[in-house]
Amino acid sequence: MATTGMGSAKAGVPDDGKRTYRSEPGIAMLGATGAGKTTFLGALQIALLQDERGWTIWSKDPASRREMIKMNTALTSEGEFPLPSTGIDTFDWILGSRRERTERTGRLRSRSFEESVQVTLKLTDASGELARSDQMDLDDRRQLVEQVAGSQGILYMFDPIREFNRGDAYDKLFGLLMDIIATEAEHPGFDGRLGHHVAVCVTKFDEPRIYKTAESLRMLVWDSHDAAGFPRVHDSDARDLMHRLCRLSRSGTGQAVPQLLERYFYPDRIKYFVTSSVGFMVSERTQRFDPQDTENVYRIESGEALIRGPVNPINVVEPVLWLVEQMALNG
Amino acid sequence: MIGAEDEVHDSLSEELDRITGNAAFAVAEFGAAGAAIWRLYRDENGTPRAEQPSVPQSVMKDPDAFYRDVDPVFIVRTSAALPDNLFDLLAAARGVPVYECRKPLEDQIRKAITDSPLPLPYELAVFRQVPPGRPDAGRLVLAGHQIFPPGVTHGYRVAVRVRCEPTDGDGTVFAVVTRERRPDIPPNDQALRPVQIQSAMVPAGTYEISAELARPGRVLLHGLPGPLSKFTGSWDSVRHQVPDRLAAAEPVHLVCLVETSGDDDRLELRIDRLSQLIEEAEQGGGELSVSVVAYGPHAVAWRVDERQVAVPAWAAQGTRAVQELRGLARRPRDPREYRRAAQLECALETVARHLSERDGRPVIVTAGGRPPHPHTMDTRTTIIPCPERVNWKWQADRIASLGASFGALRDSGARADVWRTLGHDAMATVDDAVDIPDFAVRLGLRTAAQVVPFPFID
Ligand SMILES: Nc1nc2c(ncn2[C@@H]2O[C@H](COP(=O)(O)OP(=O)(O)OP(=O)(O)O)[C@@H](O)[C@H]2O)c(=O)[nH]1
Ligand SMILES: [Mg+2]
Repeated sequence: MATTGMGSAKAGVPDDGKRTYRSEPGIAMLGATGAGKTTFLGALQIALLQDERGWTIWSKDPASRREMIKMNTALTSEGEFPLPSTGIDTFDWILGSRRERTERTGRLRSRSFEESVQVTLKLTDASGELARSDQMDLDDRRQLVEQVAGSQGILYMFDPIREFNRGDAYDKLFGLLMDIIATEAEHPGFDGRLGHHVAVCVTKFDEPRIYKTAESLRMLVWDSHDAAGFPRVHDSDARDLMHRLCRLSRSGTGQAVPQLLERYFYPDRIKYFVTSSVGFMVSERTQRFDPQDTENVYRIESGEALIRGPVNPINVVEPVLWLVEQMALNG
Repeated sequence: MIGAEDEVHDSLSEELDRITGNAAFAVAEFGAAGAAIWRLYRDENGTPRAEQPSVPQSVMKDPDAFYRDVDPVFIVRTSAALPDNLFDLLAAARGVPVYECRKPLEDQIRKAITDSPLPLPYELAVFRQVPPGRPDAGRLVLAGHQIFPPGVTHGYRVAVRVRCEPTDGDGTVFAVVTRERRPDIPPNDQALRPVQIQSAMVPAGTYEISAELARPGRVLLHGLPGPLSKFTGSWDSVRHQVPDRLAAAEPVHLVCLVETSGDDDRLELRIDRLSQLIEEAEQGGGELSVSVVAYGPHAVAWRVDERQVAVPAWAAQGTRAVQELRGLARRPRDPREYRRAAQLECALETVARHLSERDGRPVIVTAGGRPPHPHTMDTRTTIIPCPERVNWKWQADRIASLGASFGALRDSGARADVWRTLGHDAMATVDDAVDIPDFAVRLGLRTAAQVVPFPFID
């Protein structure tokens, strides 16, 4: 694979039956101020730990490592959210796992071996402020546009609560897409659409208004193996839920966000997820999910938001792994 | 004509001094239009009165009959020209002084009466309670409390301290009386005779009033909070409304709910207002018990310890309750507390659970600002629900069904529905000046189910 644009994936030479698969996809996070981008990244580490697939996460880059640890302690030990981001942060995080692979060795013979997988995530987390159109000419904004253009995947964070109150997601996304397209259009063979894979994450699922909307649409499903009894919204319902939530938006243009994405990206490269970085509140007494008290966030006297209970991210690993997979498949 | 006004005044005063009992005297004025005869006497209170008796024409034409039947002490002549018959009467004056004046005699009489000293002491009709220890202790006795000694004249002023009890009916009666002095009757049983009866709607309380003698028969009372008006009922009827003793006012249980969250200044305001209200309620005279219930937000996070609704005083004495209230100002606070609600619903539940009829009619006064935690998820406010799922409405209804009244001393910004319910009978914002006596009256903390028509002297 080329060293630019589409990242790289190489398989090591089989010798002792062990192989290593490496990939370095770049993933950019987009979303309005306060949509939950940085929290999502912090929750990713926790989510990976809780995930049964046994992924690990680490970093070779000291700055990225420091950030990773800082985010983790804040969320889990202090129950604190990250401060609003300023400018652009890039993290080089490595996702590691092992997988069983079977390889054909002859016409009828095949053999199995364990492959270690390492995916280097180049994550771009920019302040939502940079999506404002009046920021168009600033260096940071230009840098963001370049980073997005150079990534293969986009995590688009859509915050329905902000849509209720402000209703500006469409305007901001539109402005940003125009800038990205302007950059991409310089490449030969550009056909008017962006080639990125896009994971659209509807954030803050634990918030009562979002939870109740999903409930009223009968979109909640329960995993019988889940000890705490957390509900989820199936990915196949996620786009509908987002659509529904957008109908409640202040400006009413939120509904057009999926259409906008589906027009400028390839629709089959977009997937919707309903997520909550901090997950649902768990009652301290019953240790279980309580459908009357879902939100895991509260505000204290100073106005600061804090986390109420343990962090049990919902659908945080999934969009990232989906992106990694899609990028690997599509090379 | 030289004015002889001074002589007339002196002469009237002397004659007024002289008359007692049923005695009377007459004076006459001769003017251009004819004669006016005045008869002066004292009423049962000793107040000088003047009237114009009708005198037959025949008497006015016959000097013998005139000086015998009318028998004027003096005659005032206000005109040089007189009807003929009056000239005839003057001619036969027989030593009766004739003063030539410009001032009409009526004015002179008025002035002389005003200037005359009181022949009898004036008293204020008041209640006294038979002191404890006596066989009929606590019984109410209508008595006279002397305000003016005999001999004083208009302009004399005296201060009196009276206490007014809450009363139904037409307010408190302020009656100036004299006492029928009969040596054969002990002073306390001597009948009181009204000089002047007025009434006023006066909030219960103690008042420093001053009584000023305007003239015999007329006393001005200053220093009452409301205007006095002429009493329309009769003395006998009001005198018979005297209750045997003060009915113990309905026992009241004042329950103070105080939200301890928010900044210190605000909490102090809440404590101050509630303390004032307790002190006001204590003056109500009835049996009063006071409870203090303190509440803050529920602990909504694992890292914060739950602080239960506290009941530092239940059905206690007012002073104890005030002490406990003051103690709340020094409570420690967790900076990680929830800011959007307070466990008002659980405080109401605590009250509903503890209330008993034994302690009196409940009066629930809440000083706070935040809304309660809802009992279920509320997507409109998104306030975190009460962990006990307590419904504030049910609790308020439960308390209301016990005949409670509700008063709220809320923060100026507090808009939630709950304040309309909790401020049903009286509502004020703590940040503004609160008319505490009025607030107490609206909650029935200062009313009596009894007519207590007269003020008390303690
Ligand atoms: N209920 C709920 N609130 C969340 C969640 N994640 C984030 N939030 C809230 O959203 C706020 C903003 O989150 P951030 O992660 O800082 O958002 P951001 O997109 O990085 O914002 P900028 O850096 O300012 O662009 C947090 O302070 C929380 O109050 C979640 O999973 N559930
Ligand atoms: Mg951020």
